[in-house]
Amino acid sequence: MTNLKVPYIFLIPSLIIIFLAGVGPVFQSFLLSLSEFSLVNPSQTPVGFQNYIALLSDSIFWKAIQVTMLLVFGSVLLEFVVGIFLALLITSSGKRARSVFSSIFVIPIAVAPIVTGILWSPNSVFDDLNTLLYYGLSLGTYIDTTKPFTYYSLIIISDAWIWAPLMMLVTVAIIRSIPKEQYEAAEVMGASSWTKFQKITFPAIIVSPAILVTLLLRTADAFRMFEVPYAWNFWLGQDAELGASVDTVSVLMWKMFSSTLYDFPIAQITTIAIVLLMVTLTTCALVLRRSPRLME
Amino acid sequence: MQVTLKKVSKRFPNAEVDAVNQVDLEIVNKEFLVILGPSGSGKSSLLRLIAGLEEVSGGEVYFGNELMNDVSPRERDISMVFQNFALFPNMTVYDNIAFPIRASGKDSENLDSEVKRIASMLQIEGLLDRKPGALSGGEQQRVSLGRAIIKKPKVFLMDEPLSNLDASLRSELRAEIKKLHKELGITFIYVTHDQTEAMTMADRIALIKDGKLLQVDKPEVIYDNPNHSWIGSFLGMPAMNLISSSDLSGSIPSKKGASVIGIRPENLNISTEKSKLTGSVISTEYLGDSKIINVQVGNSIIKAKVSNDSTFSVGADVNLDFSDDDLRFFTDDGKNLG
Amino acid sequence: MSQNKQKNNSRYIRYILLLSASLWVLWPISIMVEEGFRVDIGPLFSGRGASFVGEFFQGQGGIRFSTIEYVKALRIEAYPRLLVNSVIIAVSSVIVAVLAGLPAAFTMAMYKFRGKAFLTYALLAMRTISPFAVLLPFFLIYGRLGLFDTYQGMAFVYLIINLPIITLMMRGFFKDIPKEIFEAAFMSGASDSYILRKVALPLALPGLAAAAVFAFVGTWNEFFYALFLTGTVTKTVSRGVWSGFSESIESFKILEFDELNAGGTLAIIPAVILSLAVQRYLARGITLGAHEQ
Repeated sequence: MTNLKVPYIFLIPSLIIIFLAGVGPVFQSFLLSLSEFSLVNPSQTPVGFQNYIALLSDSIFWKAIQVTMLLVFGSVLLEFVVGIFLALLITSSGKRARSVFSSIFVIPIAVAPIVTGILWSPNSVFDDLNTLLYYGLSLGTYIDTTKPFTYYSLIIISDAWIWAPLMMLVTVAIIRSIPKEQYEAAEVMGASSWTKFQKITFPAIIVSPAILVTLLLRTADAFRMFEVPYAWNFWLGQDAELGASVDTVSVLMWKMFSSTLYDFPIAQITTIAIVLLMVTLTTCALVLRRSPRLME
Repeated sequence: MQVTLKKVSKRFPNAEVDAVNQVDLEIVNKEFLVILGPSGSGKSSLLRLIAGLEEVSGGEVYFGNELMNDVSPRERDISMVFQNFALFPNMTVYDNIAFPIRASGKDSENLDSEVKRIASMLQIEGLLDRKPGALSGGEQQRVSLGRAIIKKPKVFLMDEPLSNLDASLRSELRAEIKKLHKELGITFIYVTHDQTEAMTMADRIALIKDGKLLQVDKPEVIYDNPNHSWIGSFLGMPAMNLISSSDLSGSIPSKKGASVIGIRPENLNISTEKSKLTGSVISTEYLGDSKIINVQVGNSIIKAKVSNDSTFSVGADVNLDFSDDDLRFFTDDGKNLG
Repeated sequence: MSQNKQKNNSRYIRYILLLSASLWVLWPISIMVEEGFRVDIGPLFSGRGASFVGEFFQGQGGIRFSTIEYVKALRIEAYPRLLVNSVIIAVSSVIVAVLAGLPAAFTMAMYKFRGKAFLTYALLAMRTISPFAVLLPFFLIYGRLGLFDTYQGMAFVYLIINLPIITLMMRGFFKDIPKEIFEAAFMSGASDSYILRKVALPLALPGLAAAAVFAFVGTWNEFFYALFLTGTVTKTVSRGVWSGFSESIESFKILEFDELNAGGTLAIIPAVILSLAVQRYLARGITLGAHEQ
């Protein structure tokens, strides 16, 4: 449609909200990060970028970054793989199976992340599994949930558990849009199922802009992972310890805020937040660059 | 309402060529003008520029004496009918037709009688309670027409309105649209790629190809005396024969500068004596009311439309005769030499 | 192997896989439901009345079926109270998001204008932003304005999530409507507001329902903002799961495991039911209309 008479007035309420709830507070956070504000010392005088510089040499911060990156990578990868797997199952099933099972598979998305922290807690799942392994099967071993490998895995599994269905839905849509003739031609040429997947299905998924956008959005989201590591802090009894092994960046910030050891160092917290924000904004810009249709 | 286009051009973003290229066109008040062209010729774009749904990249659009370039479609006092009807699926036929009046806030007591009057004019009064989903293609298009005429526009635009309908429906609706034109007495601008629609309905045809207007004239004139050899091959079934003049022996009168000679198949007839063209019959096609014979003359294949009882046999030679008046002469780049 | 046998084999394999996948989804939830009933099926496996966590024995265990945790949770001042809170906050926030977002979505779907890219970017960024980037200013300002622990305050904060969801999703749904329908409405002389109300909205109504549910569930499940900006009055269900439904004091007390599980079960019920109702639209919702279904 032409540029004539765009009803700009329709945009005003949203713009107001964006500024009041988004741009404004972010800007104020930025200002705070340039100061030494804390609830004990509420001065907002800017002191330059010293917080940022201090952050760069802070080992606890880097540890949190490492933990976060590990969890992000593992989680996004796992949910991608599981999502594709579920999608393949769904698309190769008959109509009734499809509607029944896709309803089931979709449930995790509705489950609150904080509840997921309970679902995969040491008590729940491993109570039975460990008992089975140790006693039932008399294997004499059990899964030690205090080992890093275990709990990192569990956190990754938790997050992937929630979001794999999303990957499944997107992948299903992609698979549905592949012309059937490609598979028929492959069948005639005697291709096995694995070959069909390798040569037709998987390439189609990889190049799809939808999957790329979803992966980028999920990565941006995963960076602020909070609820599940938060829960694990309590399972592992580390909630009072700053820089604990399950602290993602968000959890770190929470600890700084709520711990009684520190005097609410708001300036430092906002510094970290702004850094995290930069990551998010860059990821979003990447999303938009790759998916120009979003801009239309 | 007279519609005038002066050097109107349109280039879409990221396009390498103009969709509409320097079009000059004067549409006379109350005429039925058909914009005819193959797919991709820019005819729909041209219509949308007249409607205001697209902004011109260059040139001016006038309604009467008023410049319309910056006027939004709502305010141009026009109506448009679309190829896929564009009815509102959530509303009944009644509400669809009444929409333009209600939308402009001019709801009045007359509205009800007006809607019913239009419905009966288009023979759809029995369908007023139905939703578009329950209607056939032809019925939907009538509703679309009804919605378009209720607000009494000054110009009536139609974008390939019959293309989505069956052939039999098409001829029925062609007649109805013509009738509508006569009853309403307003300017109709009709876009199509179908030459039958153009030839049967138009007061004048505007032929467009690759964004440029090739010829604007009455159907008979364009058919008989096309500006351009391409038009000759576009109009007519079968198309005009286009033969390079070097290919024919000197028995055919030629004009200086003409490299292509055109003659329509229906203007060729079989003669018993030796005449201007001789060739051997390669194949024949039976049309029902006539036959087409493909005759090899020199290096060219010439089509002739002959009556069913003509004498010829496939593989044998045949003589073709014609009147010199029926010859058309074209230059290298297709221009008619008159 | 004959064709039929092959087909049957692959069918069996597929069903096994489907069931395993369902197990992967439902098993953890069923454990949570069970534990809420103080049912611990570990002992079934060991034949002893003990259960095992890490290296530590836990004296509890065994099937002591009891609905007491659920009963405790369902007392009026516990779950139901928080339920009401969550509903009030989520519904009011979504309503505001719809009122502001629908016109914006319509404009973005129908028109080209300068700054559209910025708007899309801003909405996208808002949705993925880390709460901490805005939390502290909100914390400080709400403190000053007395909006701490209020319904209005929470509803407003949740606009950060809801506005992008509603706007970007609805933009996608509006774009699904064939362009000619809008052009026809336009040519008929209708104003934008009239078209939005009488043409666009009726046709995109299922999409709106999905978007609203989606925003509702997102708000319902949200923990972070609730943790910081609610107090005793507006405590939401998700915060209540963790710190106890009926705890009136801000505390991080770790509850009895069974209590936790009962709470978790009750917390997810509304969200799961609503999501199942609109699951067809879920993919579009989460990618904010970035892909066509």
